[in-house]
Amino acid sequence: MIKDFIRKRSINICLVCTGGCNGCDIEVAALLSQRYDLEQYGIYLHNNPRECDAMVVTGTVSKQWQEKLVELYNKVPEPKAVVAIGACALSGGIFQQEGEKVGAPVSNHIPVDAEVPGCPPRPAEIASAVLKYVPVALANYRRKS
Amino acid sequence: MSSPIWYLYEFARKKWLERFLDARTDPEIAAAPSRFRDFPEVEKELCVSCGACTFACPSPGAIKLVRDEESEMIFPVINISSCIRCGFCVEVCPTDPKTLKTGENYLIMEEYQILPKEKVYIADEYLCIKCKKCLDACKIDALSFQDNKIQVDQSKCVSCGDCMNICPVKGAIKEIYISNVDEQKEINIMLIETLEKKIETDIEIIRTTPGFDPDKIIKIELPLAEFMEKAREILPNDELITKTIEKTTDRLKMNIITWNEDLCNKCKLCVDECPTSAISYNKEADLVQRDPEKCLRCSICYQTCPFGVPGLYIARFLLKDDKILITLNPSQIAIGAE
Repeated sequence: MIKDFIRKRSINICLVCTGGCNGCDIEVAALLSQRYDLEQYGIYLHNNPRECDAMVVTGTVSKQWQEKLVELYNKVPEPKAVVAIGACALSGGIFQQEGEKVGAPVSNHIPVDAEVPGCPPRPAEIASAVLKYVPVALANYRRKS
Repeated sequence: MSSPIWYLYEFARKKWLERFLDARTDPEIAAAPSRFRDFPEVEKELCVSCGACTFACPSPGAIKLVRDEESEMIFPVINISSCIRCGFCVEVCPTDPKTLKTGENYLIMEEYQILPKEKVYIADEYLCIKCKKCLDACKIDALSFQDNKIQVDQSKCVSCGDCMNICPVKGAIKEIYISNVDEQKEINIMLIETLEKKIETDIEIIRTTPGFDPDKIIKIELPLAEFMEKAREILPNDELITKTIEKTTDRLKMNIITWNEDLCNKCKLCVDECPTSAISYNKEADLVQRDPEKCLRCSICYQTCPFGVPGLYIARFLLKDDKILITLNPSQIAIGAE
């Protein structure tokens, strides 16, 4: 009850980079800057999965990350949501070449609620996706369980 | 402005208070600029199914040619989860208007592709001595030494002319004016014709004067005033005309054939040897005649004739001030058939 009330005004997210070119992470970093000022929308960026409401996953899920990503996902307190950002997280992007061993897409490993395409997506796209779909995803999660 | 009173006044303003309580990013900042390349849109009616977009795409699986069962059309379909929004597919699309569309930057604008250059510099492989002084002189590294020759990267060159100024060999680096190429060609042809005419008339006079030694160098001068006036009608640019003449005369080498009929014994060896049948035998007048119009100046007749009727001179040219100095060197080729 209190959680719901608080979440209407703020969402804590955890950024997970699972191997890639880090372009998407830089776009998330741009969101933190004064130009976009992420926190004015009530989004707070943690790097602690235990404290967050939604995970933001970037990058092709490399071999080393495949188990750890699931581990991280399990650490997120319920209800939880996952937003996959960038072409790598959605399909492997340019790393999905012949002979490459990437674990993309992210949805092979953990359930994904929202996808933001682009290589990288614009900061505004990331912020609007988180704002729009994370509350919906959290409500859906509650209904399912 | 920085006094505390000003700050107090600024903070107390209503607008400031509003902004403070409801801080938001300006929507303009978050909006994509018009040059932003978004996911391409496909207009399948325009597609010619060439497949250029699929080859241009660097991301695997981002674009595929799909056949529509109903309309039997083949057109590209973009998978946005793989697309990296580079816009290469739009750049290569050959249809007009384009089948694929993205931000306004989908073509590199033409006005930025062409450098406003008047002159182009090229290295003459034949004259270059490979001293590589020009490589050091070039401030923007437009010159490179590849395959044992100097090469100029025309996309980098800014036509400063430093390489030509430092070059110790005259004409090893050439300055070419891109505009008026046809006019320059016309002037060149006219120049060569004028020189030929001048040499042929002068050499006849010199040859017939008493005391003429066929083994000595002949020197002729051609004043340029008349030629310049004619050239100005083709191209009204004195500097360009002079440069064109200089470039031509620096490299021009001309074979000159003279014909001394008095020595002829009518053996007619040369008549069969001439490749263009410029030499003919006139039965009625009992004369071997040479037609200068047909002559290629290959010097075969000069090498064939046992009596030294044809004379061969090699002409070289030098532009000095307002006249061309012509030097006629007697040929060193051995004469007499076999």
